[in-house]
Amino acid sequence: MKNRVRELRTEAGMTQQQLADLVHVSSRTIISLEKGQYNPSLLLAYRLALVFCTTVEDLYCLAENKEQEDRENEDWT
Amino acid sequence: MKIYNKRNFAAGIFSLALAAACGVVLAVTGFQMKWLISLVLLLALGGVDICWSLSREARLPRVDERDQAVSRKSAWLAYRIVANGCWIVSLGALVVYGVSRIPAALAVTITLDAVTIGAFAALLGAEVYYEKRM
Repeated sequence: MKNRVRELRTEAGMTQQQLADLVHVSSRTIISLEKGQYNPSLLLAYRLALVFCTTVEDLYCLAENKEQEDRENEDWT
Repeated sequence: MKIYNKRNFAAGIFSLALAAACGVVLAVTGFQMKWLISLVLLLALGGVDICWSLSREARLPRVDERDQAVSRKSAWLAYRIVANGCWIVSLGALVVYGVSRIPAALAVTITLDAVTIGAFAALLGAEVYYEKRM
């Protein structure tokens, strides 16, 4: 799923390890999140949003992702 | 003194109890090297476990949610590999039995099918368990 974790982290001048420590996960999890390979739990998404002073909707580009998902579903049907 | 890891502490107590049992056996039956080695090893193991359980570093680390997801996925994949592997090998053994009538081939088939059915029953049971609790 597309997200803005890397963008917001670099804007905040944080390393992956620092962010990982702030949200109580491993740095490997942050790497996976940034690559979009792993979708976080609701709680982790909320913690990340709190760290970056934003909303989960914004952090995870939910509107954009939903549109893309809808398009893919239409193509499928 | 505070116990930071109860599991390690219990394991340590268990090891020390076994060490005590070894000591009793040594005392009753006379000197035997195997009991002495067991006694020393169990004492060392129990001591290390108890010391570890009392240290601050023994606090159970917070489980990473991605690690849990990886564990779940890999456990499921491992189950499928083992179950399908058993199924394929058992079919092969059945073919071998059909051709050669070797009793061992039939035994292999029955054993592997029993393992596959047992694993499936366990999976079904686990699914029913979690279906009710999640």
